[in-house]
Formats: sequence, C-alpha cells, structure tokens
Amino acid sequence: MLSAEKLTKTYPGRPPAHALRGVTAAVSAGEIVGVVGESGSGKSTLARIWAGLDDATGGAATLHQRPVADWLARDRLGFHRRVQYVFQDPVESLNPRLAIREQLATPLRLLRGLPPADARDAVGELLAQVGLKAEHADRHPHAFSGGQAQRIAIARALAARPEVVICDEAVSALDVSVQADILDLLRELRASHGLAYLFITHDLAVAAEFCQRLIVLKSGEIVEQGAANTVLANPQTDYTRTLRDSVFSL
Amino acid sequence: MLPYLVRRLLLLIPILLGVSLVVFLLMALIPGDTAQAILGPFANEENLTALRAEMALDRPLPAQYAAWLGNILQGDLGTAHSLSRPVADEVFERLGATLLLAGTAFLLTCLLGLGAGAIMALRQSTWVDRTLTFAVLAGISTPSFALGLVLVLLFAVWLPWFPASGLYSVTGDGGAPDLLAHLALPALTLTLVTSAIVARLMRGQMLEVLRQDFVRTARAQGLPERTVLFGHAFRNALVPMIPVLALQAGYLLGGAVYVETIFAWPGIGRAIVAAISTRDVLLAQGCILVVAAGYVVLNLAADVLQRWLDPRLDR
Amino acid sequence: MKLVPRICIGVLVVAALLALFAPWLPLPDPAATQLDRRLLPWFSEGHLLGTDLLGRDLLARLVAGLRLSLAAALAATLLALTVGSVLGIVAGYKGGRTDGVIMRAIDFLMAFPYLILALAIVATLGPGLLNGLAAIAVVNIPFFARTTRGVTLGLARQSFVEAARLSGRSHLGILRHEILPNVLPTIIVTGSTTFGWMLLETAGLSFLGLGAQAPQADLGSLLADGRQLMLVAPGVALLPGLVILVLVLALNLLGDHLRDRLDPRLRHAPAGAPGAATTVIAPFSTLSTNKPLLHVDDLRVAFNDQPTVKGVGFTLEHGQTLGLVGESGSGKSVTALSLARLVASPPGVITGGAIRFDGHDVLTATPSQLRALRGRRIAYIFQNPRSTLNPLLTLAAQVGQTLRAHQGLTAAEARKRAAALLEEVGLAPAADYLDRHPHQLSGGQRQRVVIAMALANDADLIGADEPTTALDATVQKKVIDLLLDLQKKRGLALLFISHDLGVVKAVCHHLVVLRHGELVEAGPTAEVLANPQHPYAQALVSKSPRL
Repeated sequence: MLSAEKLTKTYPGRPPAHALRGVTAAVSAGEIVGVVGESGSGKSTLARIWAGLDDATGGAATLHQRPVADWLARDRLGFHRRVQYVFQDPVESLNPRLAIREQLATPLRLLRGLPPADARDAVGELLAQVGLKAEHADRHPHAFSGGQAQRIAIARALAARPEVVICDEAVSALDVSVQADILDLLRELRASHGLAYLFITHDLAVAAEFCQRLIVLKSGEIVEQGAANTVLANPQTDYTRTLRDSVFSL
Repeated sequence: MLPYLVRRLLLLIPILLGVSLVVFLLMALIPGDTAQAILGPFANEENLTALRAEMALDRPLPAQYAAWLGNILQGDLGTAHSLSRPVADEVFERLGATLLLAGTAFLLTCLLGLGAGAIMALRQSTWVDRTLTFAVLAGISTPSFALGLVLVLLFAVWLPWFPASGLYSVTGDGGAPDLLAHLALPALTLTLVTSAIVARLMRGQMLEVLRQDFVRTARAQGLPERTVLFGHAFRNALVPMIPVLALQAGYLLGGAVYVETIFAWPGIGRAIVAAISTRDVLLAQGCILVVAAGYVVLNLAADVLQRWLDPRLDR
Repeated sequence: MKLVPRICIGVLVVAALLALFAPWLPLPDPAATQLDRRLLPWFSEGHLLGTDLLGRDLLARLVAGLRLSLAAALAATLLALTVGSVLGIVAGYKGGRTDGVIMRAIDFLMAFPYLILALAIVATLGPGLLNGLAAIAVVNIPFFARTTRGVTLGLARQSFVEAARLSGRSHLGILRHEILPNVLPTIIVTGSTTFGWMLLETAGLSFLGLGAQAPQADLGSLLADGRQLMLVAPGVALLPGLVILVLVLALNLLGDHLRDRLDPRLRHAPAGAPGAATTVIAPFSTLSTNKPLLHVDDLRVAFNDQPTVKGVGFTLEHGQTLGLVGESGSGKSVTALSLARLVASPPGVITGGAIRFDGHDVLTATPSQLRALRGRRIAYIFQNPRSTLNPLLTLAAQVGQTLRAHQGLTAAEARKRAAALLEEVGLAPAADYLDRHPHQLSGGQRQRVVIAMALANDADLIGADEPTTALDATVQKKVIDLLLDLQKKRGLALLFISHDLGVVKAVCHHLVVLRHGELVEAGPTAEVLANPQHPYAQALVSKSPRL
C-alpha cells in the first residue's frame, strides 16, 4: 500500500544533513510496521514524507503505486482520507482555542463530506470509539490530560476512516500506564477498522510489544528489517544488537 | 568572530546605500520643482538653472541619484537656503549637541532601566514591584514634551536650580559646569521615558531567566546568591536586552526632537523640525541621512556585542 | 473584574463618548475668539476651565482636541495594525522566500530611527495631520509585523497546524480558523498599547507644529499653544498634557490586564520569582536515634496551597541507591528537590515534616548552612541537559565555579581540577572541552558535564532526577554505567528518580513508589518488582513494556 523506493532527504546547509540515504520499504494493508532507531536516524523524516508533510529530495514515496506528490497535486483530500497521522505531543497537536467538536468535525466535513450539522453530531460517536464521552466534545483542549488528548488526536485521525495511520512517537510522551492503555486502544481500533499502522518509536520494548514487523534505521539508512520477533531475538547487525542490549528491561 | 565582523562590515555597504536611496527618493518625490524646493521660494532663475545642471535634475532619477551620492561622498551635502551656510557644517555642529544629550540619557537609561527592571523581577509581586510597575507604566504613558514642561516649571521656574534653556553651543565658553547645568533637565526628561521602557522589558527577561533550569543548577551547586543573580540571571537576561537598548538609542537620537524643542537645545532634531517648517529640503535631508547612517552603525555594534556575549549565535 | 481595569475602561469610555458627541455638547464654539475675555481663570462664568490668549473656551478646545487626537490615533493604529498583521501572519505562515522578502523590507524600515523616519516622511509629504498620521502609521508597521510573525511562526511549527492540513483544511482555511484565533489576542493587546503610542506620537508631531495645523487643534497643538503661556497660566499647557497622560496610562494598564488575561502562560505564572531556598513552615524534628545518612520523615510540600507531596518518608545509607518511582504528578521530583530546599518557592512551600542529612536539619538550616550543603555534600543531576547548563558560560567556568565556591580554589587551580573531572566522566582529552560552550556538545556529553559538576566537591549524596530520560537508549546505557562505576569508586549515596522500572531495576537497591504525592509501596527493588502489593504498583509492573 505505502511504499518507498530509494528515498532520500537532504537538508541544505554546510555541511548538508542527510536525513535519509536511499530507503526502500513498504507497508501492506492491515499490518503494523515499526520503525526504530536513535534520534537523527531519519525515522520521523520517513514518516513525514509518507504522510505528505515533507517532500523527498530523491526517490519515490507512493500510495497504491501512485506518487505522494501526485496525490497531493490532484487529489489532496483523497490522500488525507487514506493516510492519517498521530503526532508525538498530544497537547500541541490540538488547537488550544477551538472546542474539540470543531476540531473533530473538520475531517468529517472536509474528508468524509458530511454536511456541517451531521459532522458536528457525529463527533460524539467518534469520541465514544476512543473511550471518551460525548459531552467532552464542547470542551477545549486544556481541559484534558495528555492521555485523553492523545485519544482525541486518534479520534481525529480515525474520522476519515483511513487505511493507514502513521503514529510518530505517539505514546512516547505518556506515562507508562497511559501508554499501555493507548496501545490497547490502537489494537482494538485496528481490529474493528482493519487499519495498518506505521509505528515510529525510539523505545524498542514498546516496538517489541506492539509491532509485527520492524525496520531498523541508522543515520538515514535501513540496517535491518524483518519480523519483529526475529529481528530482536536474532539481530543480524551489531547496531541492532547494541540497540537491543541498551534496553533496560524488567 | 573575525569573519563575522568582516561580513557584517561588508554588509554595511548595501544597507547604507539603501538608506541613502530612501533619503534621496523622499526628496525626489516632493511634489513640484525640486530645484525650487532646494533653493527656497526666493531663488532667482539663474541660480535655479545652475543647480539643475549641477544636480542633474533635468536627467533621469538614476543619474540624479549618482550625482547626489557623488557629492555626498565628497562631504558636500549642499547649502541650506534657510541658513545660507553649508549643510555639512550645520549638521556636524548640531550632531555634537545631540550626541551629548542622547549619550548622557542613554547611559542613565542603561543604569536606571536595567537596574529597576532587575529589582522589579527579584521583588516580583511585592509592593516594590507594584509601585515600580505603576511608575514605569506612568513613565511610558507620559508625553515627553509635557514632562519636559513640568520639569521646567518645577526645577527652572518655581525652584530655580537649573536653566530651562539658553545653550547656544556645546563648545561655548561656559565650561563644563555650565554645560552640565544645561544638560540636567533635558537629559532627565529623556531618561525617564526610555528607562521606563527598558525597565519593563528587563523585568520580563529577568523573570524568564530566573525560572530557567540553569539558575536552579547554579543554586544546587551552592554558589553564593550574589553569583547566582548577577553571574547567571542578570548576565543572561542582558543578552536579549541589547537590541532593545539599540532601539532606545535610536529613539533617543530621534525622540530628542521634543526635548530639544522644549529646552531650545541646539541639536539635530530641532534642526530637522526647523528645516521641515521652512521647507529647507537639503538641510532636512542632510540631518536625516547622518542620523540614519549613525543608527545603522549603532545597530551593527549592537549585533556584534550580542554575538560576542552569546556564543550560541556565533555560527 | 479588578478595580483598575474597570477604572481604565471607564476613563476610555468617557473619553470616547466626549469625542464622539463633541459637536452636540452644550459648549461654546472652540474656535470663537473673544478678545475681551482673554486668559480667564478656572471656574469663570460660562468658561469652566477658563479661556486662552485669544479668549477661546479652554474646555471646548480640550474636547475638540480630544476628538481630533483620538480620531488620528485610531486611524493610525488601524492602518498599522491591519497592514502589519497581515504581513506578519503571511510571512510567519508561508516562511521561506516570502518570509525573507517581507522581513527584509521590514528590517529596512527599521534601519531608520523610529521618529526620524516619521519626520522624513513628513518632510516629503509636508506638515499636516493626515500626513503626520500616515507617517506614524508607517513607522509602526514593523512593530506589528514582527510581533505577529513571531507568534505565527511559533504556531505554524506546532503540530495542530499540520493536523488541520491533514484534516483537509486549505491554507486559507488554516490561516482563518487555526492561526487567526490564536494570533488575535496578541494583535488586540499589541493594538491597545500601540494605540497609546500613536496618541503620544501624533500629538507629538502636532506639538512640533508638523501635525494638525491651525485652526485645527489636537491635544498636541493645545500643548504647544499653552507652552507660550507657561509662566502666566501653566494650566493651559499642562491640562492637555494631563489628558494625554491619563488616556495613555489607561490604555497601557488595560493592555497589561488584557495580556495577563489572554496569555494562558501568564495566567498560570507563579506568583513571584523563585528565591534562593524553598520556604518552610512548621517543620518538626522528631528524628530517629540511629543515624542514616539521609532521613526524610513525613515530608509535605504544597504548590499554591495544593498539597503535592503528602507525607513521604524514607532513609538512605552511604553507598546505596534508592529509586523514587512514579508517573507525572506523583511528586517524585519535588521530593528529591526538597532535600536541598531547591523546590521553586514561590509557588512551592514545604508545609511539614523533617529532613535530616548527616546530622544537619535541612528544613531549619540558615541560608549559609544550606549553601555549604548544596554542591558540597548534596549534589544534583537534572533531567534536561539542554537547559541545566548556562548557555553563555564555558565548561571550565561552569565546573570551576562550584570548586571556587566551596574549596576556595583560584581560577587556575579550578580549571586544572575541572579538566581532571571532565576526563573522569569520559570527556577526554579535557583540553578539547574546557573552552567549549554547552551548545557545542551532544545531549550525552552535556549530561556528562552535569555529572562532573555534581562530583566536583566529593558530595556524599547525589540526587539524579530522570538523568537519562532525554537521552538515546545507547547513550542512556553509557551514562548509567558511568554513574554506577562512580558510585562504586566513591561510595556515593544515590537518590535515583525515574519513571522507567527497567532502569530502576538495574540501578537501585531499594525503591519507593509514589502516586499523587503519597507513598504506596517501598522495599528492596527485587522484592517489590517480583511481588508488588499495592494495586498501583502491580499495574505499573504489569503495564511496563518488556523486550
């Protein structure tokens, strides 16, 4: 479904920064792919290019064999309907001055094409899906905890009924107990909606628990990819092994 | 640092050219005959023709600009028709008086403004802070031209301690005591307003720095509170204040206009106002050009100083 | 609402009404001269405020001047506000080349001193109220543009803007529905204070004779007229000055009030700058007879009268590591900071309990006793290495200052010792690091510097507050190995604060689990993790991800 062919991204500067150096990878319908690596390894860059938030310098990022740039130029709304994104900082990803109803109604209206009144009514249902109450809709973001805000952000991503949701460190800013609840929620939603996840994380333990397949990035290059169990149990490269052995596990 | 300095000095050239272009265009855009505007209403036809030839006024704007700039680079700013003397002489004589006044006020502003701002921050929400905050707001809200009049009434008329006006030349024969006496009221007027602005912003900066983690680190190291407050908090709050101080210096150069008018200070601001009133274009232009160029250099100095104090900017 | 903003609004409303209805008020014609009634004093018949040199009614002139001044300032403000804000928002949102072009132009306007540029424009256009107003508006455009651009830039970087884009909003839609509501408070606040400026500046131009021309007179012209009579009738000049002062002061006070109300950051700002040590009320000193290195008993800390730590106690011996575990809001950092009274105060206050460190009663210690403890006996390593170091000082200065404060070393000696410390924490050769500034280091390197600072005076106890949370896993491993190694070599007691049970398991001998400021479980690490008793501890253990 999503695929990348020799994707490169270079930020100009002296010296230029190579965030991605020829990444080839894919996400199939319904699967959970984890992208792991240290800061500066290019995980977020890859996610942002796939979501259409950044341009690649070279190579091709495609959705259903069609370049992302082409989607954005000809059918931007269609693209956003299929690919959605959950950001790291749940509080920052909600507009502090708009009520939740307004923020969730926007994708219902613009991406699903619901009439404004119906869109506003459907917000309650959407909140129920992520374990919040319908009466939360008329509050502003500051009234919610980090975990609740992330639930709202997930609801917004789901509003368009996407095929794939990209989670960029979506649970990293949350407390351990909240983190576990959000991961449970994501699992449930995948079962009910048939979603695929691209799951970006620096936390190998979380990736091990949540992902089916792993892509290991180092300085903008893929050093290893495969089934999560295999990669972690039997790393093929020193880098992956160091990453794994650095984790303090319970 | 050195390559940066060279780069910034080179960058001065286009900025100064741009400033000169704006000043030139402001004159060229004056409605009506430029030669007439320059020589004043009583010029005769002969002089007008000669001037048009000299300044290339019958040729297109770029040629006029080139001729104008050429003259300026040779130190020739033309002749002020309202005074019948070279603009350059007049400008530099008056620049001295303005620099004396603005410079004194600037030093006082730094002392008073930064000091009061820091004290307000350290005493936040106490009566000291509340009193000073109100005083500062009152200072910002006071028209300097009214404040000047009040000071004249108080300290020159009712309590005749200082002269209200009467300085004719900075290099006159009254000597230093006389000069200081004349300087007191105008400098005080200017200082009260600008130091209020500086104090207000310094308070905010200082409060922000006092809540930063590294101040806590300094305290966790067991450093004396004096070191924490001056070596860490004040010093770090000072860096973002540099552009603010530069802006105030610019305001002092220009804002001295009111004060110069009230105290009859023979400065450049009053010259500009007089030039505008008498429609003496060349005099106004010369004054504005010199002050603007001085401000550009001042801003450069502020930038360099900020870089020097804050190594993060030195890239 | 508070009294002051009410008064301000009252003043402004009265001024606005007077200005609006000036022509219909029962006042004499402000321009009518009566040469036989010159310079009448206040409260003269038919002339409440007297008359001027030409026998014109002063009250009528004042009201007419007010009307003209307010109109000019309002027009100038709206002009500058609209043009400046649009430029600023577009530059901030679009970024890139658009931003570059707009901001270069703005910078260029700012290359001239503020008032000089206004004078230059008046010099070109000629004196007059409209010209003066236009000149003042133009020179204020940069102010609005820069302010709104700054705010917009900050907003545009936040992910809610990208999220709105992904929700299908167009760029225009984002500007209108997402950015504008967030920038509007800034524009309103900036506008209210700038309105005051404009009032001052337009009046100033008229005072100089470059703004309103006779027979038109605004407050500035009235002041200039009155100036001629300063010695005879000071009131004639001072009254318009006073009116300007009151108006501008009201605007500024109201602007401050609006800013405090509209800026959520300021609304929640603590009540004062944090002082040198946490305030303590009601400490008690019934402490154990046996003498552990650190004994905390029933510690209570409150922020703005909200209890945050509600009776926490534990002990710690030399060479041991105690883990303080909990989630955000559990009070673990506050507890650790209390040991050296480093909780920001205000707003934090220690409301009860006792802390005894090696025979010293921390909660009743004098400032100089505290200083002798801090950095010398109790040292800290904080979470975010990006902000814990002073960005303006070199590493030699930062490590050296604590040596000089406690051991009285000279600058040269401190530098030598700092070099040795940097090498001890793995920054070798130290000569490469001593003169660097924090921004020239990676996160892991910075944290090593912080550790070197903590070790500088051979402290007995180190409080480490999430020391590796901001670091990559591989760097975290190295920093923790370093800490454990140093602890073994020096017999340090470590108070280790973490939310990560995996790290705690590897580092701590004992642990204390905190939740909402209360101690819910304590014991040897292995025992607690293997067999947690409290439901919350059980949940923490079961929900932690495992590899």
